[in-house]
Amino acid sequence: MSSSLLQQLDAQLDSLFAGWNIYTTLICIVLGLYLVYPLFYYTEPDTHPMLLARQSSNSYVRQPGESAIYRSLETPHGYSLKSGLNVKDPGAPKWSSGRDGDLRDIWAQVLKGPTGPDGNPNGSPGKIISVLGKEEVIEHQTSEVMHDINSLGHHLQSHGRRHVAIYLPNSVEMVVSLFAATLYGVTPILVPFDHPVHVIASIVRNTKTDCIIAAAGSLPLDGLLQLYPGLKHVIWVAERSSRHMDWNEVPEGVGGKVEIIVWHEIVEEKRNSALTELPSTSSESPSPNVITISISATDPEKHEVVEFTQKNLVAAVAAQISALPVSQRLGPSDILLPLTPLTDQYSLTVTLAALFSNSSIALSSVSGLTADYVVAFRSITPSVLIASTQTLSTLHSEKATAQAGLMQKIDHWRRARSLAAGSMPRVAGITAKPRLIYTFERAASDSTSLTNSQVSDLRVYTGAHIINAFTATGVAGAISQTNLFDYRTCDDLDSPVPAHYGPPLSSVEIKLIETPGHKSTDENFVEGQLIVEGPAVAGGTATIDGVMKITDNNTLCYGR
Amino acid sequence: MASHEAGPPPPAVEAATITSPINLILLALLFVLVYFRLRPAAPQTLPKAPDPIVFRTFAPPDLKPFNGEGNMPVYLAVRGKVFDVTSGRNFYGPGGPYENFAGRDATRGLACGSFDEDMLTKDLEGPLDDLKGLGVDELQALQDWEDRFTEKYLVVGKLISVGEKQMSAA
Repeated sequence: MSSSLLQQLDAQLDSLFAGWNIYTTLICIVLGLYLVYPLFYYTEPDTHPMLLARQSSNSYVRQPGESAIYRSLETPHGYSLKSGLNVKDPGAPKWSSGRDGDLRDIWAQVLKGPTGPDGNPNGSPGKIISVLGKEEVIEHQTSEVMHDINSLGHHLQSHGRRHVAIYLPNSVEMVVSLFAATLYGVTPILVPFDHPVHVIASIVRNTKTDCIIAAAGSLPLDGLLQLYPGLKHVIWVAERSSRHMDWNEVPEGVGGKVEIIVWHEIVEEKRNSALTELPSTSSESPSPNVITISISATDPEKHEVVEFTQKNLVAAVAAQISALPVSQRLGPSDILLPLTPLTDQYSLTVTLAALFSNSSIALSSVSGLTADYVVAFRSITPSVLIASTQTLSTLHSEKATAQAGLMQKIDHWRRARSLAAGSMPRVAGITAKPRLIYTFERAASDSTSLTNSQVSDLRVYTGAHIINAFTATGVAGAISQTNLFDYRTCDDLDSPVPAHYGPPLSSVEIKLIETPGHKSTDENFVEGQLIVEGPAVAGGTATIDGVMKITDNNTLCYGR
Repeated sequence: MASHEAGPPPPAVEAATITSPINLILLALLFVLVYFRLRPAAPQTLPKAPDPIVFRTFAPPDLKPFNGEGNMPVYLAVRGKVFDVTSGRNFYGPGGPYENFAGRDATRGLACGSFDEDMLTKDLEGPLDDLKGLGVDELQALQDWEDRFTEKYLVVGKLISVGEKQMSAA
């Protein structure tokens, strides 16, 4: 008798399940575990993916030939851009908005130390740490640094100096010089270190400065005086080991025209007097501008002089502080080590932001744009680093070639997947692990660019969050900076492009304009020359060379 | 004699094999699940926002089509500024109480608080309304209206007369 369809199906199922054996049981167990495993080990992404889908807000109207104006999500259109640190004087009402402040207020905050929400101190002030190679780590207390600042400030004031050029590597003396100049009404000029004397001479001549603080032995004095006879005052900063030498020796033929003095003499001579208080300049008297020099990498004879007002700098510092998510902000438990020279204005801005947040900073004199990454971890464990793209690019190629084995590659692939899913992988086994690395690219310079996939790999290699910023010489701080939690790599591996630079910071607004070589063809204009405006821009508005583009997530990146 | 007593041969024991049909089905299911989980996922995106409106210089004939008919946006002009009032279509669009203002220069009408036809400039090719004959109260009312519009609606252009537009284009 012919069996019905259902009976035939039943017979088939029976014969199928008749083949059940031990292997079937094993496979079923594996399948069950594989389905159940994520319930216990699922990690949520560090930030909601929708927040990364549109990272800046555009204006609703655009001028013909220009793009819409893009701003950070913290400062929407119609509100003013972030212009300062919101410093509240002690007697001010609790909910008043505070004033913008300047570098003097940053230093006052360093002295005050961290305070709780009720205004009472709840920790010790941050320290300034000097890392002298592999030998020594010296911690300078803020009272000691304040004493040095006052000594130097009085010295400069008594000699009537209005400008001082600072030609030092990263060191506590550089921080002291910067704050002494700002607190005592002298304009500091930050000169990049380690350049030939004729470049330095042309810089001091262009900025018309008559006073220079330089590392002892870094400049031949007679050569400098020959090229620039207008120099009247030289302060040598001698290392501990070379203090016994006679730096006061004046070259022949100069006579009494140049005053030469050594740093430790200025600082020692007032050792007994109590100079640990802030000078009593009122907040209404204007604080001097800060001049930064950037020497072009391609043509060392050319340098660009940019004068930033205090308002530019504090707007940039405030934007840096609020650009980090609240849980990841710089705080009293952090140690920041800049591996880039502090004469670069982005590194300076991040360092000032760290000081204002009461972090400690560690200064190593071997920092530079090509410094080695491991230098940061000799004798000290910094939690935040500022490194150049050159340093990180070298680190990336070293680590990539070291990862030859299959297990290492699988491990790396697993961690990269975790990043792509939006959560930072827990990486055990890295001894020197900062929590955050700042890196930056300067517009119109030939610095190495990192691609999106390189930045993602570096997050795995270093175990740290990486922030990639786009800076320019005319804008204090950064123009735009990636979100700390943005781990996405939208890279086309065949044609890697430089990584995107994130949304604009809250102290600037950006727009793209049409250039003669680049007309707008799209309905929505998203590629062109970049114009930056805002309180952090020297002179109010700056034009950046090069073609930039706004991506679909409203972030900035290089155009074609 | 023992060989005669040998019973039927013992049934063949099928060796436990990994390639039985059910095993193959379950293995295929496992591989499919592993593939879907390990496949790289595209990042989440939001739907694209509407393109920003391009700021435009209008002359009265250019502004007239923007009166809400046929799915056009509703624009009106107050003291040379053109506002996009499409979100107030119930008021300013076709069939609304203020529909006379749509696509026109509403300055005199808002100053005097009237929606009559004679508040609008008749000759679109001629010069713009120079606001002659408006008193202090009316100018104050106009200023209040302009402030409200600036707060509530987007400025998408400016209004100049046909003569000025031809001069600037020349």
